[in-house]
Amino acid sequence: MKLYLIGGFLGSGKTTAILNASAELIRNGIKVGVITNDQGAALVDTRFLKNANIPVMEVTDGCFCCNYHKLDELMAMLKEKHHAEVIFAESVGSCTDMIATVVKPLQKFNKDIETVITVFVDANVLPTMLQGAPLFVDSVSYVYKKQIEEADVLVVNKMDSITEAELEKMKLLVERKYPNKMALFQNSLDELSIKKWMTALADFKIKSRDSLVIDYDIYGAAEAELAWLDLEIELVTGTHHAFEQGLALIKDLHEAINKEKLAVGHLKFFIDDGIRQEKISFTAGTQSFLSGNRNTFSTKVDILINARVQSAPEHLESLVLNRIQKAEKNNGYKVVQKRLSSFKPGYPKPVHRIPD
Amino acid sequence: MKIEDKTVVSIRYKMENSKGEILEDNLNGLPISYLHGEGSILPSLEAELAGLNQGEEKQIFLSKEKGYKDLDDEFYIKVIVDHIRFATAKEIEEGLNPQVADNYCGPEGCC
Repeated sequence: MKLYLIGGFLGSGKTTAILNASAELIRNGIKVGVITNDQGAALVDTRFLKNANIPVMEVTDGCFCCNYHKLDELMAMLKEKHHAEVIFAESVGSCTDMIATVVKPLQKFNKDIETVITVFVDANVLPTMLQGAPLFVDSVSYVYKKQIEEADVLVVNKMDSITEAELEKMKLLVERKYPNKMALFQNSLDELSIKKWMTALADFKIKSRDSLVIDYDIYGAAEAELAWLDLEIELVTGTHHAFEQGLALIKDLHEAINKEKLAVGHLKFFIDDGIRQEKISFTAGTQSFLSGNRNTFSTKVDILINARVQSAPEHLESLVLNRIQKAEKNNGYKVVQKRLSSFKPGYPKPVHRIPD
Repeated sequence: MKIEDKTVVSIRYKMENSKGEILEDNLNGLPISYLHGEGSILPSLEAELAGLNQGEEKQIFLSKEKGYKDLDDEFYIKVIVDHIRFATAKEIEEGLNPQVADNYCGPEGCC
């Protein structure tokens, strides 16, 4: 049996490609199954594929690496119940380290499965992710590049949205950054493109694969140093200036965290009074500018707060809640707490991890 | 059109550090894009780019001495502004480039 593991960030076109590839294989008499994977309980992708009459199963609550046994069980079910010869397994967008945590354990414990990894990237995004790292302040491009490193086949998708001249430059870019990688330049809505991809996977000769070099202690620790606070509040006022008061509260919260000299990973606010919305983010050393002079007259406003701050979660929580309480008293408005969670993220805990 | 907050800016650039090492050079390649005013790129570079027009070129020198405290080195950057457009509401809300979701490595310790 063949397992086609499909990785790539959200929006890279994985699900559409799987749908069209499944249809192509079914037309050729090959029995297909699909396993989807997401963190959320409601899997939109699953519904999309089920509507197309393709046997679909899902791994929820975490990526394949942490749910290895579930993945293994679903593959066995697709094989027994649906006689699947080819299974597409679509991993969650940010999943990396698939060779060490999925492919190698399968080779060890499930020898009759041949796995090929395809990683999808959006042609419109790839140049920025491959060439922008020195300019960008976040580390998303690190995870993005780690994913590409793991690909047996790299699919640069959505080629229909770029010009011929851009395609030539795209090929040079991929060749320069990944000289030994098999790359397909694909439009997943085009039957010929899908056929080429399926042929490439069927013909792929498995060579030895290197597990990614990821130091889980460093990787996990970098995340775990930060306390996470997610808070949703509603500010209700009699003044008809709820939006402005909300903005002032946001500034106040930022100042309170700064005053304690706590390092900020990011501090994001989304403020919405039903008419006007504003996203305000503060990261280390920078802040987005508050824009627009458009005044609205509202008596209540919703504020979403996502804070990633170097601190104990309890401390961050009480700092924010105390400041809100103080603001209520000083300004005469009422704040209703709708949702609150604060924690320190755990370390990634894959079921198996087989390094080289 | 000028580079201002909430515009999507496409640039090509060559960036060197104080040792003369080239960190990236896509002057002859495809541009990169970012959302201006969101703090997604180096704040000091963002400040230098603000107000530039489409088609404009600029030689930029970034250093702590110029008041840019966010830097760990000095950088010479040649920038060509290829394209500027207003960001869509979705881009302002979700960001322009792929993000690692907020629940990445969440309470269950699973990525």
